[in-house]
Amino acid sequence: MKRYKTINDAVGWMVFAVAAFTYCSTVEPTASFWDCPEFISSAYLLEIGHPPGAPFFMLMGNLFSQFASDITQVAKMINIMNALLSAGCILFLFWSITHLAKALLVSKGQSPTSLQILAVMCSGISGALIYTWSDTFWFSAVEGEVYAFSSFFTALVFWLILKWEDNADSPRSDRWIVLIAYLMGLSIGVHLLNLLCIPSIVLVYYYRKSANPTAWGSVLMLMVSALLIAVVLYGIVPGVAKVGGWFELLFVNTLGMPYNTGLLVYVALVFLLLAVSIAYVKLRWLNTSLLCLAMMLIGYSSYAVIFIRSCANPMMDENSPGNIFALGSYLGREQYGDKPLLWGQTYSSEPEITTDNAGKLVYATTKGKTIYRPKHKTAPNEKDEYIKVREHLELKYPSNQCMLFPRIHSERHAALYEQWLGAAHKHPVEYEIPGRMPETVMIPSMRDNLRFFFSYQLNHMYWRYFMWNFAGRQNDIQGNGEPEHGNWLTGFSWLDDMRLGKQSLLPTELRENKGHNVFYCLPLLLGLIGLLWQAFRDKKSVQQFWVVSFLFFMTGIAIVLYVNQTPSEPRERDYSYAGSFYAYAIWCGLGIAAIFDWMQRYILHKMKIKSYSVIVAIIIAILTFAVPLQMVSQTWDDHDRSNRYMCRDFGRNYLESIAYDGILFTNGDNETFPLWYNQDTEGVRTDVRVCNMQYLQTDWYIDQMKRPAFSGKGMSSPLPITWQYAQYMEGVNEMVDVNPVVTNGMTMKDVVCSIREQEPELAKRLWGEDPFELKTAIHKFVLHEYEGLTDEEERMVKALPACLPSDSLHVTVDKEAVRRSEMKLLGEIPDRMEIDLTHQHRLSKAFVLVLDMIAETNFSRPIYFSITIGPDSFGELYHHFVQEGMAWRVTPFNIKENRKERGLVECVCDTEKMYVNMMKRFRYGNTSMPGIYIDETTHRMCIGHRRCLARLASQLIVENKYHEALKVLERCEKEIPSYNVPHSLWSGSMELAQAYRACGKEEKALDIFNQLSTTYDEYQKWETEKTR
Amino acid sequence: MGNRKDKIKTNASENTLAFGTLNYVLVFIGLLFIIMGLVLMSGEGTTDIAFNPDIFSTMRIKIAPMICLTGFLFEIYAILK
Repeated sequence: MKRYKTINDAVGWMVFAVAAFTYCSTVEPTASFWDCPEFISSAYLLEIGHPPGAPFFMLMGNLFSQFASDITQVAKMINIMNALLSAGCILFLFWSITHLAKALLVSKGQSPTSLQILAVMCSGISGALIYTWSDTFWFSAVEGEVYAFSSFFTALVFWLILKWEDNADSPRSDRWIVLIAYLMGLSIGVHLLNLLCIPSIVLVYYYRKSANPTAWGSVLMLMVSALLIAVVLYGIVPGVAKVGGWFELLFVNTLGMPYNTGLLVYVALVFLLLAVSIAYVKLRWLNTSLLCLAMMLIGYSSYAVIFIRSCANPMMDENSPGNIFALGSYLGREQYGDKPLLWGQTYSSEPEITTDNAGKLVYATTKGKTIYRPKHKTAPNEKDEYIKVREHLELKYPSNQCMLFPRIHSERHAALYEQWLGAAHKHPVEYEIPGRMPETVMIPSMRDNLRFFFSYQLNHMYWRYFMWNFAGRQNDIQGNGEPEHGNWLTGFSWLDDMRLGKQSLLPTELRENKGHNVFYCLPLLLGLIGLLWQAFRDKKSVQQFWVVSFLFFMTGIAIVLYVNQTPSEPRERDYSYAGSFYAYAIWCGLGIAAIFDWMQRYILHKMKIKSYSVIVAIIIAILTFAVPLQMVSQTWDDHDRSNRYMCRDFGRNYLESIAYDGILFTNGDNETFPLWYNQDTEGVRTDVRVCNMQYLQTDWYIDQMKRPAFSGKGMSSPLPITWQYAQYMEGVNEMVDVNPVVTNGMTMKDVVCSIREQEPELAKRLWGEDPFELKTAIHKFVLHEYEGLTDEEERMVKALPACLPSDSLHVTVDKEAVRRSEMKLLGEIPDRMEIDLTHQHRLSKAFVLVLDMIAETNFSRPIYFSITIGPDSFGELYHHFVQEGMAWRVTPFNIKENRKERGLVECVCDTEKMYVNMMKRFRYGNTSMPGIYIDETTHRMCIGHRRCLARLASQLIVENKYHEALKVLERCEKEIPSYNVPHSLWSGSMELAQAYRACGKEEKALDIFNQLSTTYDEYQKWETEKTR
Repeated sequence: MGNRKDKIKTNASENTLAFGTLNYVLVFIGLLFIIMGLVLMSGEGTTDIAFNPDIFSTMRIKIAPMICLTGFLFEIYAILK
């Protein structure tokens, strides 16, 4: 027995070493795209990332960041932490597999034979290495996300319950259970995924403790575990904060004490109560349960870090969870909204309508929780108080427009659902509106609902990912159901060609994509063998089977059911299901045990030939290593992220495009988080104020934007927002109408004009000389900032709706400021900058704020938009944009006419600044290194940069600066070469070729044209194949 | 005699419970570390008027989180001891 333990430990650590080597040598040396830059900054500086936050990840990451030799190494250290945690996960996977395999292969109480030990070790090695080198897990192992840590917790907890199984009869074995509870509490501070292990844990407990486990007993236990998950997920996680909120209200609002008194009293009370009850309760199961609860709460208390750090108001403080009410909605992830799960609306359902007290038709709503915020004080000696901001309201839907198990529920995605479904089979349903004739609404059928569930949610968003890991993957390009992108495949061409069309006809860039990995279904088969063996071998193995199955189900299909995904996700979501691939890897490992078991029974025992044991050993060993080694031969190249600096450098380039002290409006994760990372962690260009337009709609973000950030020379002044809290608080001015119809077909503009005509004195008193000046329009008409009005005037002003009074406003330009600003002067500076809102009916709060800032700064501070924001999302404002790099500067010049004259399709460039920025300041993240891995997101960023360089070159040619143009072209070819980023029509390559030709480099131009035409011939061929 | 028997009995029942006295003491020590870390982490924040560089001081974002983390990891030892 002792020999077995030594071998088990030693081989486990060897497998750990292999995994650690794999991940450490492929780890990304800096931040990666998506949420990684945010998580890394949140760990290094203890700032607050997106809900529900990851405080324990922050603490661990913070520790690792302290090993960094300088700030550029911080990200790498945190990535290495994840690499090591992932290797730790592999270690526990190995020990879990060997535990399960040994329990089935070796009879209880017997010493395992050498051959049996070999078989058990081979099972562990095979399963662990298959998982090590599988796609999804490796992806998360080499970047700064929380999924590696979360997987580590899952593996650890699963292994601990098996460990408990071995020690269940020792007197204080309950300690293991308490430890599991504590780790679960901690893991909430990383990711909630870990709770999904509970059913498996409960089953292990039941099978071990019950003298005679039955099927009904198992079902009962599963119900108990569902209850446990519900208690933690819906009780403890949000409940702790909710009850805390009651205490806060009592102590602060009612008793008049300072903020957080109630919270402290509450925390002290909870722990005191638990301590006392644990001391007095001697009943073993109750004592253990109370201990579990207490330790889980201690683990969960890492959230205090979030609370305390949010109170410090760091630059990144998402949702400002620095008071118990905001912390509550932060923990409850309320910003993501609720999705119906069992019963609810379809995408075409209309909300129920009732009449209000005045008899007006309104949407029927259910009242949710009240939202409280700390009062914004006007004087420092004012008393602390929480004020009600609003009540959370939810729309109701008439029950005849609802369905069971709604899978096609989101109105916003209606067109996408129908696109996915082909044709929806809708049926008419009566829609009652009080006091009117009933209308009909077309509701999709249950058949469509289930079709979507099976074909999209299950097949496309789960099984496809599953098959990537155990059968093979077509390429790393996100697929939306088309046969050339992101499908699973096997490597057997007869099967793949039948499903997806002739794969050898795919265009080269798809066929040679590094994400193309084929495993010939080998891991899948091995897993199936292990699964069947475990399910049918004997009574003990069936129990194991249910334990692993529930891990597999809960971390896979249960998540699919819970998240109720809508079509067209922004990225592939396989990382959410890593836990279920972990469970399947256990079966892959057991596949080896199964083959051994079979050989043991039919060859060793029946044939009774001694020398066969050598043959068996050899076969097992070959199988063990062949499958994972085949996998790694495929997956290494598309998981090797070493030497990649694109995320950091491209993020930096946005900042380098901005003039000193400028404001940059961005949009989306990949144009915001890398910028934050550069500023917060690496201290690059902190003078630039980065403002994400999506967040600017929320009051907490506006609060943050009104605060100064950083110190010294890199200080960033607050955004010039003059609005008071009451004017931008949640629920106020969320949408602002533009020139709405007020009465009798008269628009707001007509009303204002008629008042100006009939009572010019009054109009002047109210609105000054010019009511259509942008500043006046916003502050008088939207925000109602009037002073010293008579009662009659007050009444009149109140009768007007809060809106922008015209669709055509203007800013009187401060010419001196424009001259000082060093922006490119496109002709004479105009007296007025026209703000044309003709095509806009309503503006978001964020947009109005941006307009107000343009009016407020009046070109005394540079304002930019990131070029990845769609120009048309700002109406006609983009006619005032001049490109200076990866950003557009807002100028007073209207370029519409200018553009027509010059024959340019896109914005005008300030070639002088853009040349300096792109040639001297920009970095290109090592994109030119031959063979470097460029995934889809990185590829998109490379293309964005190439397009900018191409535009700069074309514009230089228009300005007859051929020498500079050629330099730009050479730089483009050197930094973003076609061997790593192939030429395509949307990468600006046509412009590049034309620019080369204009510079007299005919052969270069021809080369690009040839590459383009070859690619498009290939696509043509593929399109014909597709339609065949 | 009777007294001693009682004592043995309570000891036996305590032995089957998950935690002994030592565990409680150790868990409490771990808690002290966590609380100490949290206290050291708190302090004045940035206001609407001025950025406060102290929010990123060595004490608040390097030493304090380390003490907290020590507390959290120590609890594992406290449970298993």
